[in-house]
Amino acid sequence: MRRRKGPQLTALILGIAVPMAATLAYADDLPSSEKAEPAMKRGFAVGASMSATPMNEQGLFAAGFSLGYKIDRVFLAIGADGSRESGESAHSFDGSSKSEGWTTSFVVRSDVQITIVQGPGVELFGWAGVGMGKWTSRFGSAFAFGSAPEITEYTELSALRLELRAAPGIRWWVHPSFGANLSVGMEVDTFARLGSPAPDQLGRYPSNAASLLVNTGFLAVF
Amino acid sequence: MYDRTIERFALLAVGAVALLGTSPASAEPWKPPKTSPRSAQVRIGVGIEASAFVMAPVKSLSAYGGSILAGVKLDRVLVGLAFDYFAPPLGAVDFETVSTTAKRVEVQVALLRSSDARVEALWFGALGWSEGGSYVQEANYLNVTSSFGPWRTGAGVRFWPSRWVGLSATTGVVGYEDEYWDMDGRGSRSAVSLFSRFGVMGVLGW
Repeated sequence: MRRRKGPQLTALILGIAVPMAATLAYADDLPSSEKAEPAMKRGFAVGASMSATPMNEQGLFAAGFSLGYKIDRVFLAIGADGSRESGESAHSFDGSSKSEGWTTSFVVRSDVQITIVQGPGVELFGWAGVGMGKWTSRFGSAFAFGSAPEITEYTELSALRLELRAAPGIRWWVHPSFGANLSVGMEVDTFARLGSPAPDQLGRYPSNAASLLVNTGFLAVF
Repeated sequence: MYDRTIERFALLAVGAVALLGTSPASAEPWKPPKTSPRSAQVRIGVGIEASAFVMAPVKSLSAYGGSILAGVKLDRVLVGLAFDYFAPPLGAVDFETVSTTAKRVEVQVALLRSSDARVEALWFGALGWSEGGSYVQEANYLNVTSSFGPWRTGAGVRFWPSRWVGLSATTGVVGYEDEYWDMDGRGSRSAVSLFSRFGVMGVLGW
């Protein structure tokens, strides 16, 4: 069942690149740099983006959303990320077995972006973000002969999560209220175990990771 | 199955390029002070949006894919029907899915607009249904049926470089439930995760 990923990745990259390219292509129709209206100095800002962290085992992709306020060269924002998976199964083979469990992970981030160099319609910015959250996993199983199994004991594991990001980026203001940005930097994702897990449970924790971070998205200021 | 995969993505790509290839010719140069907000975007019309999405990998859905949405735009509200393609998962997961497709009904509402109506902050909500499929998990063959979802809700931004073309980035939450059977028994799974997508929309109308 192994499948080649190349064409699909190419299509994904195309799917992301086309809107970005279109934004830049339309930007050619915008007023020339002498006439370009500068980006809005102040305002409530909404951003959506997608990230790739190719060296993080937890996942190649991440979604980004930020709500914040732009004050001249400084953009302050908060964002969040998280997921929850749960499952249960029942099997019978020389007896009956039942298992269930769930895993949740969330992180709340605060980001600051500071414009370092500002040109007509384009800016170079520095981006730093700190995120904190928690990872929790709970699971249990039971086995019985000749009767329905009942799960009486659950194992719960948890860890504090700290996420750090630092990246330079460029933003193209195609409209005073709308920018397209691309950042390339680093992301560090660490987990501090809570409690004293049994040695055979250590493998269930997510592993720490430091990875290249590529983030691209749009930002609107109102 | 694999050949169909390529065809579907090719269709997505061609659709996106076709939208971009036809619309800019009629796009007028942007003149912020002179452009009437009423002419900045089509208010009533029909549209098609092609998008690519990524999400944190969860065991019931793949990490990336593409969508085509066709809908009706009534000023700030867009209602559409969409087709999703979830590509097989990448990387360090202990299972492989076959390609999974889904359909959905989606509503988008522009909550905030810039004074010239070229920039919007939007909310969206969608409820989908998928056919499920067959799974290979740790060498066991599973039959999977979707019991609920994927559902989605989130927010994002859209820019109208011309009346007829909108470019958007949105981020939201996606959820999914399924049931599966193998030779020895049954199970169910659910997942909630964040996802984000980029879209190119072409709209015809008034």
